[in-house]
Amino acid sequence: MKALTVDDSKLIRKLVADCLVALGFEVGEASNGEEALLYLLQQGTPDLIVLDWNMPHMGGLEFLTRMRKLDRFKGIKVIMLTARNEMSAVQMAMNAGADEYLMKPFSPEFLESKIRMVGLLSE
Amino acid sequence: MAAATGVELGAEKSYVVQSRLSILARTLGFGHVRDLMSEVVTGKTPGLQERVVDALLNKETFFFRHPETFEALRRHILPQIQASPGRSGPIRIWSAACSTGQEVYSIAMMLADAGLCQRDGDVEIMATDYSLSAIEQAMQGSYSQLEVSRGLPAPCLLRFFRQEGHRWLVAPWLRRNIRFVRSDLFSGMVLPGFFDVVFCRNVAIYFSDAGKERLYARVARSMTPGGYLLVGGTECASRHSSTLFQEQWKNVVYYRTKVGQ
Repeated sequence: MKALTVDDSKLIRKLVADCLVALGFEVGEASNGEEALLYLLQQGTPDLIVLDWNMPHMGGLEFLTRMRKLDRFKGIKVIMLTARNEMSAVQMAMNAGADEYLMKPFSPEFLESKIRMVGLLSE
Repeated sequence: MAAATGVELGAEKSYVVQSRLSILARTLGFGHVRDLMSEVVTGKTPGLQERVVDALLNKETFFFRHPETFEALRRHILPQIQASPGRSGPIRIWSAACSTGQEVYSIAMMLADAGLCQRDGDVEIMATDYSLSAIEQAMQGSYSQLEVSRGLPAPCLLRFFRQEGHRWLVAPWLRRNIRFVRSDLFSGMVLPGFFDVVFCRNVAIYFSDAGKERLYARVARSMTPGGYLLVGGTECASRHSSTLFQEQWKNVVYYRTKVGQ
């Protein structure tokens, strides 16, 4: 399976990528929404995107809204991984098409559990 | 500890004991764990022994721990109970050793998803724990960001919780069918033949063989004939009980008392 980690923090991208690789994913990286869109258009469709919210150029919510408008990207599972911890933010992300929501700080165990929730890992 | 709760901490747990008691000793202003324990032995400080036992209990829990168990409840056990001939009245569920409440609220969320738990009296859930601090948090249904990040799907967070500052609170309507009682499994009350389903997960692992037999005898006594018992992944109730029989749904092992027992 393929995954894309989108975060403006190199450290978070590495943490997420390490976790995903350990779970058997082949992982690509993007540092904002624009780069992520380019990645999708050039590199193909991943099974999973782990997406930050606040990023320069194009944030995670805008990226998600744009991506979900395109039919061929509708099946990608998206886990929002963000420091935004208000109920309204969770609601906005889910309304925009996120499949799950994880608040920072997080641990690999939490991310793995969210990936199971979106149905990408079997027992 | 064993006398109060049935939980036995062997020599291999000495590090855990030392580390938990060190924290308690510091919190209460004792210079060293041995000073704390000397004070416990004198019995001069009311409630101190209880605080030591509370500190030593393992309260590890999280929402939807082993999600397949909750799937089994929803897709297999509940339909079987509802289809039982002559059945009437509420479905009764016991979360035994509920710790800080994540298990019992996971049960309630699963029931709500199945269309139950929506009005008074369609289910009755009891949650018990020996630890006063744990049962208090469970009763309040108040969780940190870290706690709601562990195992709780976002749609459940949105539907069953509200946010108050940094805390996430379980919606009152979900709590209203749950009764919280501070009680220990070893010598606390037993309601004979009362519960359709009992969750007693990751509890027996801390008990001696004799303790396990006593625990499961009490649990089995509390179950309706043909009732269901769910235990932790490494626990085997039928090995320590002559009245509980193993069954399986998908990869979830559970135990039942005899129908018409």
